[in-house]
Amino acid sequence: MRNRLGSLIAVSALVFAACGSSTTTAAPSVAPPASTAPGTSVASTAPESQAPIPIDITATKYKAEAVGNRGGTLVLGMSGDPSTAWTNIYDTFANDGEAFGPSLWGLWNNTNDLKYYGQLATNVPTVTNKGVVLTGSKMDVTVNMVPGANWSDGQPITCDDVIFMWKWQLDPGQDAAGNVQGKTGYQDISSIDGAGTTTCVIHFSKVYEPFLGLFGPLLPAHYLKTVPVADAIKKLYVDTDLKSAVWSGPYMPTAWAHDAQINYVPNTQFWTTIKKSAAPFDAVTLKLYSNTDTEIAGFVNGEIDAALEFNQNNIAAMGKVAPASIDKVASVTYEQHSWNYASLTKKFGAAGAKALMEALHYAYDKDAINTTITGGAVTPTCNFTNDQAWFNDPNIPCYKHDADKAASVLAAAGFTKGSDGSLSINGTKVELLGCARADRQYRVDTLNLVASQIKPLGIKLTVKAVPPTTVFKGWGLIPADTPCNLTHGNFDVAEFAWVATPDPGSLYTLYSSQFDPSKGDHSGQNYIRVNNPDLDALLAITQTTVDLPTIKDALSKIQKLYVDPANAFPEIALYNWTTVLLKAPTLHNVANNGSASVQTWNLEDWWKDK
Amino acid sequence: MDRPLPPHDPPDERAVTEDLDPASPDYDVQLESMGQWEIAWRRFLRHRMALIGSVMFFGMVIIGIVGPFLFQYDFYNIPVPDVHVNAGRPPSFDHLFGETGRLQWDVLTLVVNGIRFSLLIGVIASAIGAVIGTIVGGVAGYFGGWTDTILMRIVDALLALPLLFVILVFTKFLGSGNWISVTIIFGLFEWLGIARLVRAVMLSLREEDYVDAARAAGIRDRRIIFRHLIPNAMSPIIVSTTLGVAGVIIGEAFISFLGFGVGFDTPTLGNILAGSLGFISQGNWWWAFFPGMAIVVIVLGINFMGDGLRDALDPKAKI
Amino acid sequence: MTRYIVRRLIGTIPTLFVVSLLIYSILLIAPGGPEDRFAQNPKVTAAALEAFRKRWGLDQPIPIQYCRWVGVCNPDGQGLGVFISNQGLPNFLPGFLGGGDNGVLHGDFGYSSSSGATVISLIGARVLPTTILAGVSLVLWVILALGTGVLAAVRRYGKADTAITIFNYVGFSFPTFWLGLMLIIVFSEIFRLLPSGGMWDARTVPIFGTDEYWKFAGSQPVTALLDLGRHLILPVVTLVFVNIAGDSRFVRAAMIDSLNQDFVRTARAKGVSERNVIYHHALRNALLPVVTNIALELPFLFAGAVATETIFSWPGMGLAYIQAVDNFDYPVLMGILVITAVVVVAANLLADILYAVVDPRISYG
Repeated sequence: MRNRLGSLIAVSALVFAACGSSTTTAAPSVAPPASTAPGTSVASTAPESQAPIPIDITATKYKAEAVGNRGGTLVLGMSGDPSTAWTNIYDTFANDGEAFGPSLWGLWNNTNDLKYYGQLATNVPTVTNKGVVLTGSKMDVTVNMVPGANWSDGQPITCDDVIFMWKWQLDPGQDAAGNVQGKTGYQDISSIDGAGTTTCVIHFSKVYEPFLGLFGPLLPAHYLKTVPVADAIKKLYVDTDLKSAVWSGPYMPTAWAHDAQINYVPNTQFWTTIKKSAAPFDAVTLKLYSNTDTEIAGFVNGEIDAALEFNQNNIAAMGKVAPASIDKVASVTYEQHSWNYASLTKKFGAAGAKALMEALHYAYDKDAINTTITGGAVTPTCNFTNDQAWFNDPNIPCYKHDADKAASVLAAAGFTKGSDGSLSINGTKVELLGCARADRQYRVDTLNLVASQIKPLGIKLTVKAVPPTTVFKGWGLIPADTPCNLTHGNFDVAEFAWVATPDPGSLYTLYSSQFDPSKGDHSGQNYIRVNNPDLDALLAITQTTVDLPTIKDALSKIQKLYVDPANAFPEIALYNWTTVLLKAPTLHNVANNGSASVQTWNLEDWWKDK
Repeated sequence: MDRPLPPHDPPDERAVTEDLDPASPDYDVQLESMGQWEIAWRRFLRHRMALIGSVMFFGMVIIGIVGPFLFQYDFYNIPVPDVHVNAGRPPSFDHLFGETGRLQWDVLTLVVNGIRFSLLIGVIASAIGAVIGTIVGGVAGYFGGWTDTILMRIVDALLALPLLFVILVFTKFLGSGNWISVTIIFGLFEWLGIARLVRAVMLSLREEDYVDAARAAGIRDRRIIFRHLIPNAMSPIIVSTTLGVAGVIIGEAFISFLGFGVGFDTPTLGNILAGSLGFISQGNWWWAFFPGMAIVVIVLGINFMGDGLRDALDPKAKI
Repeated sequence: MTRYIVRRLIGTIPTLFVVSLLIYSILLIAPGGPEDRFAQNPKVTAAALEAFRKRWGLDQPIPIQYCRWVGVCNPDGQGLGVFISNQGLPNFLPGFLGGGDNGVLHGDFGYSSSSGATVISLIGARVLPTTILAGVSLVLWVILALGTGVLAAVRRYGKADTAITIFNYVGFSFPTFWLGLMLIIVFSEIFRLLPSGGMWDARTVPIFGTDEYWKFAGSQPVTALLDLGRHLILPVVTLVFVNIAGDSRFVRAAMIDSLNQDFVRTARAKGVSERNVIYHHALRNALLPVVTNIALELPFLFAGAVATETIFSWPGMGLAYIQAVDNFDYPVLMGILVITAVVVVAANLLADILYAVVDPRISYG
């Protein structure tokens, strides 16, 4: 049970990782010089780079259908109890966002096709639309708030809220309260102009590329002010007193019975001052199941109108669901095999490791992984991007499954097959350790399948399942020789998922050589220990500019590098996850969202036939 | 693990005495000529359910020991599936119990290996529990006084906690994944009942003449406890340990279902079952059915057998 | 009698003290702590973690942490002053007598480390659902256990006895979660007859335990009861099926024992009808051990409901516990463990007293 929930614990943490952490980039030795030109050596690997084309990150295809019927109650289902109503601030589980995202809006959000749109802001600032102005290494962002918008208690939503929330996030009291967002991004803001108005100018002291992720959600200053910062988690948005809390989104929670149900009513201030129409539902009810299998049974049984929070691993359990009700979309989360380049180098030498890595890329049969492990529920992917991401370059070639090529690459590098069929180089047998969380059978299965795919090459891969905390625990929190710990690099290959964002800055802490967890303060997530100066230079671009064409160009080169045999990149992306929801045929405007935003992202547009 | 064991079934008076005619003059002589264990053995053999239970249990034990060598597939060398059927394939001549979803593993191979590990976990955990329980109960009962008070307070206190809750915390934060650590965690919490039993026997034996005599002869306490007293407490220890095996197997299955149990690289009946549940509504019943039945057969066998043992070993029972 | 009860009551204090120590040390031995939920979040810096630990008092020596949690020590005190409340008297006294207001002794289980809600409010809402599920199961299970146990005893070694014995043992051998999921698949997914989980219908019935619910139950008692009943069927069947074995066997044993007693033989010899013998003489005599046994089993029922609650999304204590384990929510874990331990100790006490009251042979001087 709780597979989905459990996976979210691991994954949700990585969301933060993937949101591009400038907390960890703050160290001067780490920050790349701002003057670094988009590297000369890099350009040589991509001679065909074309002139920048204008990029519109707001060009969504989503269009809500007009509401055809009003009234009634919408009943949603989800598995697992959210941990707190403080979406994205003090929460633990990603399903908290599903439950409370529609109640507290941010400045911006992502559509179902990974484009950006304003929630409480009317503009999505970019360099092109002059919303972002770069002066030297500094950056000013202009935010136009929805004019006349009110909080649920009738107070106006203005820049005062933005200013107060910025300071509130940076308050030292937040550490003790366990703020999961951290100070990332907020600490790069030097000041905010526009107090009392709805046009705010946020002054950043340095370029902070993922700024569109800040202020999600925006919190009401007048409500936050009522208690000291350190007491906020105890006294505000309390589960037993949701009615007295202040909200901004279309439906606000009124009662929460843990592990059972959350009730919502329309936020009249939202409907009169922001949406300026009547709410399609009189009430929304969220029924909480304790596991995904019974949630599916509940949907089949007609207990709920829509069932949320599934992924490709739940599709097998949907045998009794009408196929038309199953709504699947590719997620930004991608399942991948992280190969430990440092460990391979240590075992087989620099040249050996490179050849082995290249051969592995050819040896993987991703189609077989897809059909066997997920029943064809996903699309195999070549690299870390989602096809819909604005920075994705669709013209990048892919490794093709080719076992013979893999064998010849190995032979050319001096690997020989012994009489017992085992591969070795300079007397060292190729025997590898594969790691996965003990409670994820599909990962153990995938590694076993890969083991069988590379066995004909003479490679022996032993699969080990370990507790989730063993896999991810940080440097000082676990003995250095613990097998399968990623931070200490005690593995050859590990399977887990990265939650990418619709924003490319996240790659920096994953692939930059500065973020090798063996180095510095050990907080980096370059578990694969890739150390490539070209890559470092390209990644630096994503940290020093917000000019979208420049970023896209750099990303295209990174994508190319990722699949270039000459680089033998030590990460093998398997597939993008599939985000799944079940919806009754009577529901309209349900648009499953595979981005970091939630499946209930456009709840204000949903309506139901009579 | 999470429920009380069935209480003692009163001994079947008809059983052993049938072939001994109380009217015959040799009745007492015949009785005396049988050793304690021989009487127990004969009583056990007369207990029909106990026999059936033993056949079920030891049948499973034999399958667990030799099974993995007999079948054509080796758990650690699963062949690559030739045709990919995510839902698995139903029982056939090649695969008597069908094939699992995803990797198309032979369910029979899985179940046979699962029986091996589930039994290993159950037996080792219960054995650890029996050893700890015997030592704690023995020491408490023999020395009495403060030692007894403190130890029994701890036992009382631990009995006041739902052990499943405690085990959950430990497996989640410490041991999940590795079957050895899961076994040890179960073992560390399986000894309470046995400690109480052993202590009760000790208390009643402590004042016996032969113990006094041994003490007077200057024999060390440790020797008295382990050479003279513990053997007298063997019967309840055996019964309780046997029943404990069933409790651990069911408990492990539940922990696996919650995702805190033994990792999927080591097959146990619990995690095979847990892995299969999502596939049932696709029509794949065989993956869940066979490991489930294996658990039922083992636990049923143990309970039948435990009941028989209890009657057979009960010294107070008439024969 | 009063002296006996008082003595037994005082006797529970050391047990509860050891229980609290054990709960504390168990959670201390378990690696990590509430901060473990940030273990994978690089945005939470080392400094923030340190501040978080300080906020939860985890930087203090363990005896002090324990002492504060129990409520003997005052978190505001320094040095030896920790034992003195802000009112200047020993901290362990109740608030109105000049003691402190922190710690388990003062009913303060602290705040959930993941949601910030008070532990009392989180657990409080779970008591009634668990009591309803456990209570209904208990009543049904006692009736069934008595029925089958008596029948099995009267027809000892007959076909009915064998059938009941086998049924009992088979039920006992089923993994609860497996049985529960099978029932859900059959009765809600395939036949769509019964709800797949939860305690009330989310579409038509207000949240259980709220004022709206009681208003609804007051105006439409039949609908409310039927709805609750529908949701109870599958979990109760599961709980009863796997738990009945113990009591049914126990009743059988007690009944056989009492049928062999002299007074039953005398009654039979006097020509009392067999029916009368069984129901008036033997059963009455057999009830005593059965009733005390059930009091002792209460805690198992509460704990055993964990599996049932997790399968059937029943918003009780067991589910709360599992949620807290997932969240590394130590304060909630400790709260639930303390409360269950108190219930268990109270049930044991009740069983003892009950036994002493009913059985004249026990001397309680």
